[in-house]
Amino acid sequence: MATDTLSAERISPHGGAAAVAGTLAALASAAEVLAQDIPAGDLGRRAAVHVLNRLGFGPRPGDVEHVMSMGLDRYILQQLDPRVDADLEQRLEAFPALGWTLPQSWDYYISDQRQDTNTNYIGDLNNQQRSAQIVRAVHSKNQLHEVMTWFWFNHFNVNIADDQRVRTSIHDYEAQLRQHALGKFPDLLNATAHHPAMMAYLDNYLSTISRYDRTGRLTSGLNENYGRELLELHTVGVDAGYSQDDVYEAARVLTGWGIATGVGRFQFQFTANNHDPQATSVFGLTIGGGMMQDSGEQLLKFLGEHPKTAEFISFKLVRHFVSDTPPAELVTRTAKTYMDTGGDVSAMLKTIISSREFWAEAFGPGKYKNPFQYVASSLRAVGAEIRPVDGTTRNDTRAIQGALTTMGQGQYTCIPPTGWSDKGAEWMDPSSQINRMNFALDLVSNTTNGSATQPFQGVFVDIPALLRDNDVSPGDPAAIAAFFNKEIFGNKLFPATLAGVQTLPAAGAVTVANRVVGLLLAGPEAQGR
Amino acid sequence: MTWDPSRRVFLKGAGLAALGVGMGPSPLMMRAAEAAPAGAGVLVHIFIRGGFDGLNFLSPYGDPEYQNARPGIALRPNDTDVQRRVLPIDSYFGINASLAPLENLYRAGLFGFVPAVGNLKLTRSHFDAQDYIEQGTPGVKTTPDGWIGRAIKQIPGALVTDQVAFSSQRPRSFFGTEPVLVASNLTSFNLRAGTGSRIWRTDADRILRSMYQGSSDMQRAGQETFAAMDVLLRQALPAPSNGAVYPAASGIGPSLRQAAQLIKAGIGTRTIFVNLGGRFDTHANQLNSNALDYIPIGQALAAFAQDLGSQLDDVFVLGLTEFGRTFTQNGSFGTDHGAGSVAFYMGGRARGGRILGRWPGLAKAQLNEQRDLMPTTDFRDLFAEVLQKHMGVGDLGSVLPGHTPTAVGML
Repeated sequence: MATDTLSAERISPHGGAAAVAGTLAALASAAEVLAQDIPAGDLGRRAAVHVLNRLGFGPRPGDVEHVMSMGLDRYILQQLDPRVDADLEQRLEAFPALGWTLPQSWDYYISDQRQDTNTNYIGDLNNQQRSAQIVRAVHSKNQLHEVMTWFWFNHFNVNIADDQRVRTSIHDYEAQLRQHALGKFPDLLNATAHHPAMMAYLDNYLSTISRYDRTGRLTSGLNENYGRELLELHTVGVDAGYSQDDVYEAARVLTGWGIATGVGRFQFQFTANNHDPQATSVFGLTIGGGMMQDSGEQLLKFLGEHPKTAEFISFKLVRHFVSDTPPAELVTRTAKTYMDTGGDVSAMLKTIISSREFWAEAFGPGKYKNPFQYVASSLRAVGAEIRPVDGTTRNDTRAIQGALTTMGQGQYTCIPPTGWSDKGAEWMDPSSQINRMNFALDLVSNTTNGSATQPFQGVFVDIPALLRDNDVSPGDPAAIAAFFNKEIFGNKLFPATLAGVQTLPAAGAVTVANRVVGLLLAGPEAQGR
Repeated sequence: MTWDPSRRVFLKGAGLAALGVGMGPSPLMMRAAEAAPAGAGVLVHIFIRGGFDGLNFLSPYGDPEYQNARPGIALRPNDTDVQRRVLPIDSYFGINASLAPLENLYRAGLFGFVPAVGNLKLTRSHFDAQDYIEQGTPGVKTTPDGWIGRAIKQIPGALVTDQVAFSSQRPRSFFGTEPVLVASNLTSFNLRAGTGSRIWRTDADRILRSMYQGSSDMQRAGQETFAAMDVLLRQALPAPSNGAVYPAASGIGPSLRQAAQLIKAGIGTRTIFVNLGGRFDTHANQLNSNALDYIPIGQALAAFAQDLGSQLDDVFVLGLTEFGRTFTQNGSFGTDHGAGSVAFYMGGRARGGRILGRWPGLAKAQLNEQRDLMPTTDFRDLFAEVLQKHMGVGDLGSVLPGHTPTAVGML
């Protein structure tokens, strides 16, 4: 049950808490145009569910009431300005490796290579990171902050399986994205461009001025990978109008940007000897000769301020929060906010959340969830607790990690730099569907002790207790469906669903409660957000 | 995805309703009414994502320009390092030794290459290039459907398993109005509800089917799922034949093993899409990455041919990637994004043992923008030939709009 226990301490520097202009007006206008048949008393609930689905990983039981009593605007502002969540911080104490500095992490990697202990430190670090991602999505009160961290990681994708330099630094990389997730886009861009994980994943640490051996053979030289994706995927986008020459020159400006490793060292490093210092121009930006690292910094600044970047980032934000086919007019308005605010993410989100386009979505079937969204929202819907199995201290979510891999979205393992598809429809297929249904049916087979014999070790679900706490009879399918309809689905469950669960054969109350919820989570309404 | 009611959905729905949902005789019976003509071909389309280096797949090892441009990564005959070794098929071209099983298939006339495939509109963006190929309309981003999705409309059939993608997501090639079975693992295609004495699968199946009745996209996705289950659960999928052994690791091995199962089961599958990702985007140290990716490709294709035996006569395999890589090695013993790349094909009735299309040459002036292999065969020519000569598709204009195909000679 969500309670309002966030501390006053801000998580990151933040632009302030101006009101979300016209949120309720936009909602009312969307409702009027699109959903005149919504009962008046239902509108607030529908809106709260929409906000919890789009700005977070879906409601937990009690969240809808919480948002309604707090007021939509206040809840949204709180989400845009995350504060320290003491409950979450306590849960994250189960993952001490995530606090390793990069040099510590590299030392542990060296230790793994020497095999001087029986521990696989980096394997454990990565396991803790995957677990923490699940715990944050399921338990954090700063839901939008986690959504945006996920979004930026996907935008600036790196693949954990790609290279040891990625594996040993990816926790720090994600922490930096989290730090700036609701801040300024140029800060996100800078953080990734100066991080070993990105320099390794897109091979820039190998990119140097051309060097030849005595026989005249090239021994090292330019690598276009990062230069190209910096333009195409990170900033101005593939349709911005740059040429192959611009790609080449961007890569040349960034020669020397790489990684330093060694005892007690693991960090981004600019190596002057590897840099090609010639004057050049990239996509209209003239860069003087001999500027060394500053030439790359100038390029990043230029790209971070470019109107095409504003357009591309806005397109992706609107696609994520509103629709697979982003309304062009809203993209334009969001891009204007980017240009007016120096790429302030919170400000852009305010533009989106204040739009009629955003609220109109509250009355449709929703955007199809990707596997991570589906799994996180299902765990939240049943009020799951992710914590160590009784008698142990280690929080182990490997069964959930495995389910995500089966669904085609193993955590931190997206191979191409484009990241996972953010079009819901591209995840809609029979393979995905059968795995989702089975995830839901497995989840409700979990008993309260979350022990090793359960499908999901370390996941504590007690649906009968949840129902009893809310004065719902666990043996009554109609009452159970009504409860979840109100708490989770915004009263949007289809008549066929409500009728279907009532045809379950009679059984003990605990069995009935679990099976009804399994069916609801396997059903069509749970697939959209 | 917008999704119009279609012939397949209609037939499938009507069939299930007539039979009682999930009960009664197999909907496979429905194929009798709409059976494909005898000998109708099966297309197995392998899409390799990442832009693999065609010049180190089918290598022009005999060209001094190639050896000079790639001093660190050019393949050579009899090299002691197997990752640098080429198996010559003539004095100019040879097959990467990591693909050794392909040599016998080539010499047996079952396998061939088209070494300079592409289209200059594809761009050097992985994602645009993949989309353009799958849409079948290079340069047009707004095409909503895929080339196979359009072609299916002209291929008789009634079941969701008529077209299958081994992929974790629906490939753009299949976008369109026809349902498609997208799966990674056919044997897990069943509901899992409870364990031991507490199994309630029958009830879960019945109720979920009733919940997914309806016309929303999500409900239709569920209907496809149950339709696929109906076919697959009633059909024993045969084990590999003729001693064929597929690579076990995830990827091309399991996909082709399951493709052969579907073909041998004879349930009318006509198009199979194999999605293949890996380390193909070889910007650095590519010899090692290529070996890791190519070894299972060679083994899986050989196992597939062996497994199908004479049934390979009904099958045509077409493999390609979104673009080739730079002709010259880059600064990190890899190659960057380029243009033309090799396509390969295999089939019992294929005109194999050939290297088709015009070879553009490797002198600087012959390269695209002086850096990439020039594409000389439009990828749509490959699609057109397969559709026309193997799949019985008559109207190419609606599948590949605006394209006038040139014969390639694979079939």
